[in-house]
Amino acid sequence: MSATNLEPMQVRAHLAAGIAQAAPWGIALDGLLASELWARQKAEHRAAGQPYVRALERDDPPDLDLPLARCQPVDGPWHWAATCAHPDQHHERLDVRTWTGRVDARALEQVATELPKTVSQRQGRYRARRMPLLVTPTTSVTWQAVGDLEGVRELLESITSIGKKRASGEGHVLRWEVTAAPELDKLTAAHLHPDGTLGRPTPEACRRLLGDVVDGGRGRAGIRPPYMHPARQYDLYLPALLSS
Amino acid sequence: MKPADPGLDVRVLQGLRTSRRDLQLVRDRIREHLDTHEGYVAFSGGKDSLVVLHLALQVDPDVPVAFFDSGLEFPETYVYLAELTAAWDLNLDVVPATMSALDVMAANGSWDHHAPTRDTPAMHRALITEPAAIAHDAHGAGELWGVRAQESRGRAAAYANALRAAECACESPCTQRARRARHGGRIARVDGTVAYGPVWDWTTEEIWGHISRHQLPTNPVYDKLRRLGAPEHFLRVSAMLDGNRLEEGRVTWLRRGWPALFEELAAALPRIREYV
Repeated sequence: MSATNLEPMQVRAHLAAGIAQAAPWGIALDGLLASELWARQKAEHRAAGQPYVRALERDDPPDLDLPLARCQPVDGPWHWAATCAHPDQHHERLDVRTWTGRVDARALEQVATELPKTVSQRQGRYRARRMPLLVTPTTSVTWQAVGDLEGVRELLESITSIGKKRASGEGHVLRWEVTAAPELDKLTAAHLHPDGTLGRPTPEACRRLLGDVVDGGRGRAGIRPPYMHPARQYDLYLPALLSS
Repeated sequence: MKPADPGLDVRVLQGLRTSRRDLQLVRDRIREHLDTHEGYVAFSGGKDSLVVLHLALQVDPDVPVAFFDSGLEFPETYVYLAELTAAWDLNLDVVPATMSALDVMAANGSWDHHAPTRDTPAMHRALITEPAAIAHDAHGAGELWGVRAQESRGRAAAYANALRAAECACESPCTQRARRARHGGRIARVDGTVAYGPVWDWTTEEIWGHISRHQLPTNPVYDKLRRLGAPEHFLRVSAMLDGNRLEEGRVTWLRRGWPALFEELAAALPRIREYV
């Protein structure tokens, strides 16, 4: 792990009413930091009148300079030294809520030059949705990481909500808490949740070093942001599942 | 943390209730159906076809059991099928889809904005119609299935139309209720095959009640979906993915409960991420 002046830390988001997420593990801290940097870059491009290509649409998405250490295993892809969010309470609990959505016909009229006679809400791309929203009820979530405390704090300060359905009030962050964790060794801080389970998608070489810890099995997952990009997908050990 | 006391087990309660169904009449109709048309039990691994299978085995322990393998069944379903086959000594006939569900979905281009659109067989034909034809060729024109009217308007309409067209040759004219019991649930197709759904007008609660009363082994996918918080109408164990019920969150449960499988599927069918 490359880390000179970077130190183990804990990051805690105090939440108003839990967090909505689809995956059975929490949001990655490096993904959160990267999204904030992307948003800033995007704003700069727009302000300068320059076109902007989304990272997901690039063949080889660039790695942003996050204030985190890099973990480079002896074989396999490197990743940022940070975990996914771990609920501080009730990690086995799940609230199932429902969100609904239907296409706004008037908005379609305004953005399309021509429309079919009817836009069906029962079939096809614009069918109405009545979807479950999976919410982990918790008053805070914690990440562990190795990085620059000030850099992480500065990026997180402007993030006011995390997870899915933020516009509906889910995942509202009351305050951020970034603290040094000198009691953690760097390997632990980079890979494990506070309860000692596997805290991030992990290459086999790192997983071997961690020994006997609970994980979420093995499967295809993103290794670093942008997580959903095909070039970032590898066969990895998955984080411990929220219900475990 | 100590798990919360689950309290009253509703499934057990349902099993303690006496069934209002005349199961001997149902078994007699199954016998008559098999004697007349031969055929097989279509078993999907789900709760409805499990009840039908349980009833059919009481009539003919060697009745052929056809499992139409879509190629996209939950992994637990295959294990369950093997265990049930061993425990109940089933005369099992696995009929693979002529083109797997994944092949159809990946080939037709609908699930990837960057893929060309190509003509592929309709999903229903590849997964149901063609495998059923193979099973009918092997075992006869009859079919016993777990399709229920309560599941969809289309199924309810099919049973209602079939009942309306059914001829009653009983010595005394059937009352409305007796007509349903004696003649309902039978659908004759134009190709000469005949399907009979012994549980065609059962409610979901009656199905679970029968399973609980007889302590039938159920597909573990049900328990997994329940643990995830899936509502009752989503407790289905058919193919992991097809074009149905996406707008109701089918993929949400898949991603939550089978994350590695979800990622594999999303690599081949990127647009499923739109339904999480």
